[in-house]
Amino acid sequence: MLGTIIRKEIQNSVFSFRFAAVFVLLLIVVPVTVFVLTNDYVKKVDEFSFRRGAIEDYLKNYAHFNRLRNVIKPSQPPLSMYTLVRGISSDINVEEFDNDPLPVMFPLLDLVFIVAILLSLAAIIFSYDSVCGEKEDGTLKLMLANGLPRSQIVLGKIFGGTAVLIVPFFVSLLLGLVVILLNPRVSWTGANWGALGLVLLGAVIYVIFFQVLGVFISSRHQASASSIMTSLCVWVLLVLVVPNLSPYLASLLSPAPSRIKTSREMSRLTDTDRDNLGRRLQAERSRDIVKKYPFLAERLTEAETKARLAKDPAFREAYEALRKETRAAWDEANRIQGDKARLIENDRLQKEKAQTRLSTMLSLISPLAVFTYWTTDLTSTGLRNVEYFLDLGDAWDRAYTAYFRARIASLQKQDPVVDWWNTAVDVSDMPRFIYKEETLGARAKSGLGPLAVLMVMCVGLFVAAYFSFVRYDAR
Amino acid sequence: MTNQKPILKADDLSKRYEDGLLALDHLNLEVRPGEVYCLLGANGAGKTTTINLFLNFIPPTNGTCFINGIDVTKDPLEAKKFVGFVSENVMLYGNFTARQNLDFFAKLGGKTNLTREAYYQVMRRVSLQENAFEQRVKTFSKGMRQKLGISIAIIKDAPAILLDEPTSGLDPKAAEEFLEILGELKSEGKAVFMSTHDIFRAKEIGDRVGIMKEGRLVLERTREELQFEDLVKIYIDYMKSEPLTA
Amino acid sequence: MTGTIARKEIAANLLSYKFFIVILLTVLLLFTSFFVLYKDFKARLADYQLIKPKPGEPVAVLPPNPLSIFAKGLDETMTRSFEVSRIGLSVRAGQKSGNALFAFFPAPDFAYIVKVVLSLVALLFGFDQISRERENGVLRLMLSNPVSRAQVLAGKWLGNFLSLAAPFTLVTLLGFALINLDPDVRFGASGIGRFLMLIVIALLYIALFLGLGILVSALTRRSASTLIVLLLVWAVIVFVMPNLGTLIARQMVDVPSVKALSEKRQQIWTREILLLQVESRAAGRRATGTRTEGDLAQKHFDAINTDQDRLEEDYRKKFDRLVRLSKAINRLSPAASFIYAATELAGTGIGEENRLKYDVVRYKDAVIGDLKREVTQHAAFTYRYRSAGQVLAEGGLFDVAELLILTIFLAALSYLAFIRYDVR
Repeated sequence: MLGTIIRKEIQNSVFSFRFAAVFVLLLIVVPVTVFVLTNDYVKKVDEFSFRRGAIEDYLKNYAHFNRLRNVIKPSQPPLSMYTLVRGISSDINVEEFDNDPLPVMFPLLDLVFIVAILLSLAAIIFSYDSVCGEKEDGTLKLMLANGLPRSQIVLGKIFGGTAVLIVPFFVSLLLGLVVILLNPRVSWTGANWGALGLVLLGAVIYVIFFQVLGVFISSRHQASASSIMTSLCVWVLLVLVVPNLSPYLASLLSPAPSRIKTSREMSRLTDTDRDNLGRRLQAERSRDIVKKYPFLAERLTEAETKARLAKDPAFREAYEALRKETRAAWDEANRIQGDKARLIENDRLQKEKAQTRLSTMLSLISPLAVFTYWTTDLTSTGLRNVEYFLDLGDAWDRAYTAYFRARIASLQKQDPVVDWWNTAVDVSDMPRFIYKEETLGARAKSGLGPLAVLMVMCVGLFVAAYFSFVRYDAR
Repeated sequence: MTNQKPILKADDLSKRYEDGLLALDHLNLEVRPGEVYCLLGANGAGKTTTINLFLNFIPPTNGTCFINGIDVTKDPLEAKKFVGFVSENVMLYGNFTARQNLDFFAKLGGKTNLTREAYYQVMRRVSLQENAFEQRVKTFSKGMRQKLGISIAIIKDAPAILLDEPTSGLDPKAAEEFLEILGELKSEGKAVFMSTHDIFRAKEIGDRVGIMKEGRLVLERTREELQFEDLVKIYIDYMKSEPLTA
Repeated sequence: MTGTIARKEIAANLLSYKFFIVILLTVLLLFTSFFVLYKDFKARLADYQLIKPKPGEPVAVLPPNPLSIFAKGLDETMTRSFEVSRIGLSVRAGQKSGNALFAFFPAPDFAYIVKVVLSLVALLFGFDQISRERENGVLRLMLSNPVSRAQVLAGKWLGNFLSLAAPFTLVTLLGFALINLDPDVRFGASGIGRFLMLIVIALLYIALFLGLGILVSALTRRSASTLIVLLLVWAVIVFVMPNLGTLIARQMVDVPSVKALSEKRQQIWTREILLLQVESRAAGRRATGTRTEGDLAQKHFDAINTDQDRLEEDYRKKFDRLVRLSKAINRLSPAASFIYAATELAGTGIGEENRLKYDVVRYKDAVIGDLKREVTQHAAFTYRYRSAGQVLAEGGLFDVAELLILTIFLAALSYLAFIRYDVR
């Protein structure tokens, strides 16, 4: 029975105008986008190796440790899945004067975008009149009069609708994949295919969500004309508004001090305040020392002090004690102020984390956000990769620091006179930053949470749709 | 009455659609003031096409329609001042009340200064319930909508009225009430043209009756002539006979 | 006649579920957008107070633009703090937000709401104007009266446009007035003028989509098919075309990435300082890097600036070509035209950012000139946003004209379509 219903749904849709329209659209947009993205990726690869070459040329002649870190920075190489997904990987470079304004005004079109907007819209288009349309046509009465159980009708509509939508998408995606495979410059690893498979799984769940949503809304209306209005409003809110609003709402509900504010406070603490504190502590301690060694209170010129140091061991001892106490005072000042600064920094980090978490949670209401996180995490184009990249950068930084310390030490041993910090050295044995993509498992794990949320929402919506349809007035 | 000039006149009217179908084949008919003309025929015989041509919804392939002597294709806006239209199964504006619908169409028809009472009077005349005057039309039954439809035509106060299958789907009481109104309009001197496949009512109300088959007016009888002939028999005979065109 | 029909349209809209839910959505979204972006502006303003340069400091920084509440555009990058030193420009660190999710989705500003939601709303108003009335027989009834098809069309157009425009304009003006109450948000006469122009352009954009909806309604017989076509066309116009256009333009113009540019800059200045130190040591002098004085140092500082300026110029030329090409392709979509017009009018667009960068580079040259003459107190950086007239002259007018011409064209096409529309 269910099979018959599903087949009916599919046949009904396949010969409909809307199916043709959606199919044609996807068939054009998906391969064209993939084609352009692939060419762009190849260009990026070429440019990346060109940049590497320029850096290597520089290192041959001008590498000096004092400023080497300005030139050698961890840099994200283009990944082969950029042919499909871009996420937030486009480098806006906002920390430098040369920032790229175009991705801010016109975000890159990629697979996530197409699926998220076009497929969800298509799912709504297919399902908004699944119940009320049949009621208007009179076929719903007919089905029920023939003893079809309502549960099967609902299931049939959902599966039938999803199947109808998934096929054009997969076909157009296949065309896109052909474009990618035909390009000799692009090579996909097994992990890439695995990631793609998981992405597509997410896409199917995403489409199912909107299919169920459409059926549910359809079962709350008697007329298709009002059903489409409600469906579109809900779609607009879920897909186009909630994700964009959530970071802003999160910043209102869970504010974090701005980085400018904290950096200003921290530099005040570790600069002027520390100087004041240091001077005060130094004065205190000096007083104690002078009390112990009263002859230190004498005011001597530099020459006299030097002379006395050479002759008088007691004076030397006192002087040493004074120096020690002075250093201790400044160390303490540094420590106290450093702790305060660290508190501020940690506070800011905590609050930022809390805000990001709230922002993520708020956005999870939107399946588009869920799908975006899932896909960008899997393809290393999202937040997870940003953190992972920073971690890799830190690890490399530590390795580099160990290297240059050892190198400077050995160079200084060879020739203690030369200013090795500001001399060109041979760094061919320096550890280079190498980016390796995270394992697929790790990437998938972080997205499982949101995906589970989406699946739960699907199930919840399905239950709602079922009960709503059971009580639907089919007359 | 019957010697006056015809208000509605179809002169050698033909219509062939793009797909080749000949919907009307040299139709000639006239409706005079104070006369009710019933056009009978099966579905697809050409009745609605005739009305559509009169209202200039489609252009004729051949021939002319005249309303009050005006060629509807040459001066449609002028011609439409003289005809009221009752469409089959019009939903009207569901969220508007009966009076609001009436008000809008009255204004479109050129009657811009009518009072609320005037609207109420017309609606009373068609036996629409008082409590429905300010009710939303989407709650109306089919019969109530038809009544409102004819009140829209009446308030225009045009000399001719075109009705397209006005009694289809109405229960017998409503249909009777409807025909009473038509009778009143006829006695006021209006020219009433009605397409229908309700033979019995046509016999009752029609001063002249025409039968259409496959686009041709195959038979026309006056009331007097029908006293001696059985319209029902004629009609069914025509329906059963061979198609006119191969 | 047109007036009667228009009034009927407005009355019918006021009573319909569709109008209610759609206007509710619009009003809610607009007010939320105003509130949220207003708060964001205040936060950025507070940050600006912290990094405002003291008199004499060679720092170029703009306060956040109040019109960015309505069209955020590139305001965040335009209000970064640029510090000038002997070796060139640097951006003060720490101006990125700690919440990385901002990067994922575009800001829900007024321009976004109009571009995305109001276009859809206008389509939803227009798409069944003709087909629905044909389906329920009212169109025939109307046309059996002495009213021309042109009058019917005009009445529908007018009535529906007013139904949309009135609540939209009211809410927007109200939001603007409320925000204006805050003394920290200073729009000025010029700002108010631009904002009013922004509303007019938004109304034009809405009219365009209403016209598109009505056109398609006059071309199809069934409301349901009209809707499918329109939704897909809308998705393509609003989402696919503008973003694909930029991507395609990048394929056709060779522009180095901004990362490559910054890397080159770093390589230039570190190389020159190293050479300076090497040469100083050879001449027996001390070289303290970027703080070195003297002619030798000046030679290298000059080399840094010349090379970097050449780099910048070369990049700008290519980048301008890219922007022009991507504009040309994007402008096929009225949504892109609208965004260009809105952001440039607000002063947060690509053209304005370009101009700002040019002025910042000139300021850098002035400061470096000061440093050469050992002047340590520098003039403050001032920047004048382009006037509305300049914005229009530098391309804004083209975008407005495109919207206007498209709207008129669509209206004309709908007239032609409706004349031949089969009302049976």
